[in-house]
Amino acid sequence: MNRIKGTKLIFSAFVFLTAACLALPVRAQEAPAEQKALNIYDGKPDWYRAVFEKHVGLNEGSGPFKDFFKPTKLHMYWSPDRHYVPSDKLDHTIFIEKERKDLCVLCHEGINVGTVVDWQESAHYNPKKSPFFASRTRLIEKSLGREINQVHCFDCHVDKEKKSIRMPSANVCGECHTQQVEEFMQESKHGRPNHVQSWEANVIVPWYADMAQKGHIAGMVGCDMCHAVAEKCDGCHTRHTFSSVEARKSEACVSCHMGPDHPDSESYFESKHGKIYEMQEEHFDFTKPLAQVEVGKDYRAPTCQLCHMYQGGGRFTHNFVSKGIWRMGTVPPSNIEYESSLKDYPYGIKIIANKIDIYSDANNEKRAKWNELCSKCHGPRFVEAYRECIDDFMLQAFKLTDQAQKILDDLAADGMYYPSIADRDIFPLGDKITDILGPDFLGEPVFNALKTTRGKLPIIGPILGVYGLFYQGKGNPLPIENAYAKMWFFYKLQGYKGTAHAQQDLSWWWGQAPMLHELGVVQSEAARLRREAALEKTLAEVGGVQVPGGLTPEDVQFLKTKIEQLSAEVKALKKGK
Amino acid sequence: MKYFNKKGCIGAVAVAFTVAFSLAITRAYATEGAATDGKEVYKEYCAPCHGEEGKGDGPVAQSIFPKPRDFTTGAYKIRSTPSGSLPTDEDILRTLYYGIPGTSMIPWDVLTQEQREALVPVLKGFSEAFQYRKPEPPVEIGLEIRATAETIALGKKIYEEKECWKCHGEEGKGDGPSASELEDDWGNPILPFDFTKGTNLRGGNSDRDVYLRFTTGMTGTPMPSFAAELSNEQRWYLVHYVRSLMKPALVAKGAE
Repeated sequence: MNRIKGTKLIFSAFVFLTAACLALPVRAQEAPAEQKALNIYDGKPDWYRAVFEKHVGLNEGSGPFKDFFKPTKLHMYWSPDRHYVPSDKLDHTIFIEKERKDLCVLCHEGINVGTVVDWQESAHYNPKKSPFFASRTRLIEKSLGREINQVHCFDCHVDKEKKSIRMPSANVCGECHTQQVEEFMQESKHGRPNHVQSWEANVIVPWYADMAQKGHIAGMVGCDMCHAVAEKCDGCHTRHTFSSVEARKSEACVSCHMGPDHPDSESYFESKHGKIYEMQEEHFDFTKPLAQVEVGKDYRAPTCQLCHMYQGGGRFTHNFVSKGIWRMGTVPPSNIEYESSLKDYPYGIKIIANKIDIYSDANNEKRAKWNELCSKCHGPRFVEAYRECIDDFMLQAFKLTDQAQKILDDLAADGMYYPSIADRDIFPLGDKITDILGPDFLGEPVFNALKTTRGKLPIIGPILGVYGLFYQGKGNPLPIENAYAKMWFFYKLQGYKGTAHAQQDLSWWWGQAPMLHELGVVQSEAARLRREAALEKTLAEVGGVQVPGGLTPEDVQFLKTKIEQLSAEVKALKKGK
Repeated sequence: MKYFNKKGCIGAVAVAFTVAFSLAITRAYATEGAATDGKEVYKEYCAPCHGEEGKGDGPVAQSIFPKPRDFTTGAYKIRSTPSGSLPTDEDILRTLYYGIPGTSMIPWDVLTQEQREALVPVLKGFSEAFQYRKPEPPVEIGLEIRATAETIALGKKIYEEKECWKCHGEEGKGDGPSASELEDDWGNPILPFDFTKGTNLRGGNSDRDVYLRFTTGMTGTPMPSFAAELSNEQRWYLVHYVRSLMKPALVAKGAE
């Protein structure tokens, strides 16, 4: 009996050890058998992937103007898929090769220990820490076909193929959180502005590359920090807790959503909604997924997330822009008659949105969703009346900006700019845009205009006219152009957010009122330019000098010198007498 | 019966040998190309923190706290040798193998034993001290005493009398009145250990390790040796008291 037992034991031990020996090399060669990873650049054209997705380290920039600027070191963190390179101070390969993920935490006790502690408190550290998390984790386990008891440093930070450290992007998060990243990617089908194309928006504008070329790229870090949300999830779910509870709070949005062009923080937090949220935050239950939030019981006022992630029918997704009618408030509506060149918007340019028909079927569907959402607390008639008020505010605001744009159109047409268009610096990279973007993006009319003038064009109004707020060349933009830019880009948008988020002071004193003030500045500046041109003309006529097309600054200088010479001669003559 | 058992044993040994042999081959293959030249190993794995010349000024050093050690004075914190002595080779190898918990000095068991051994002369080479002096023999660890409520109380008395609290605080939280003024030998601010956080004792978590730190001191830091002032028994009492300051759960976890 014993003998048989013994033999059996030896035999099974042999089988086991042989299997173990065989398994060793096999395991070593095992390819990362993960499912096909998500890619936020899926479905984008080749040119796009070549300039945003293709990894180039720190050799070149991103976007169509990639060759015009070198990325800063921080670009590694803003746009990691394209720019991240592992540290050259400490090679981590040995830890990766020997699969010693236990050492990460030990070493990092002495260097960025905060990340370790954060992680230890996260659901990644203990994905089954509560029945809720366990059920969510089981879903991910099912989709991946493997058990998950911990999401460790290696899972996100190691590129298994290259055996090097990587900086995780949304693509990495999407390996497990596929649904959430897919929802986020859906934003791009609504067109910009949206989160997932925000890095594109940052670097596709010629003034970004122009600033960089002038040695001012460090000055653009303020732009980069928000626009980096495109490729990453930690804009809202901060490292390394990646907490949904945190991301459900309005505060999660406002480090970007504030300031003169999108004062969402100011308008929301100073509104009654925001005040109730502040005063009663402890009564809000942020542990509940949005779809399970019982309005009134769990939330006494809306959060940014509750409204902007709502898709109608009780559904919430990571698509924040699907109900945006006015979008950011910059694109002119097609529903009013324009006197100015706004009627030709978008001037043939195909990289920016067309005019919005705010009463299109699609937009009416969005409106219906807002009505459904807001009516959870408000009476439906009030909701409709309020929504109409937002639309009317914007339609009126666009009419006001139309007046200002007409004034500038006429000044340009009459050659009243001083310094003149010919004498001042060109539009940022205006002589190179045509080669970079081509007629496909610019549309024939704009392409031809830029090509023939080599960028010596007055460009005002939405959207390229916003360059004036990001750029200052010699005589470009003029104060009158910037007064107009502020009118439509700052004050119209402040009024919009003030009205939409029900913050009365912002709506009037930071919106409607300064819009009128800037219109006044535009009017008086225009009058001044015209008066000076007229004076110049009179002066020239009195002096008997006819200058076709008006006087250039050189002409004026010439005249001044002549007059000085003549008066000196007259004086000398008088003395001689 | 006996016969078969014996044969069975032989068989098992043979299998084990085969396996061990194939594993050895795999291992050798895996580490093939791994540098065993101590200088190369140092440059690749140690210099990023400790600096190419062992001055504790590698490119990563600035970002690290606690700071990496400067090897040029021969001052080694974790030793078995008396206060003022250089460390033995075994001491250095011990730190290389186990690391220094709570700091970025990880257990370098990712390196091979040969690689770690090759590092010892490199590290010693940074300081002239090793040319002129030899490490003294390790201190003797006297007969260990079992911890009781009484020994803990005695330890507490010593903790008070010897003014351990001045740095480590009355409750061992590392928040004594002098805590904010302490500097290491290089003039860097240094914090006394918070025993209530436990588990990350720099020189190891066992009673024996704690006893050794009282006995040898921690060179380069303000932690002195009490070898001359405290008897063997008294040092064990102090060990028992210090252990009692650590949260029981942490002690248990650290003991794992």
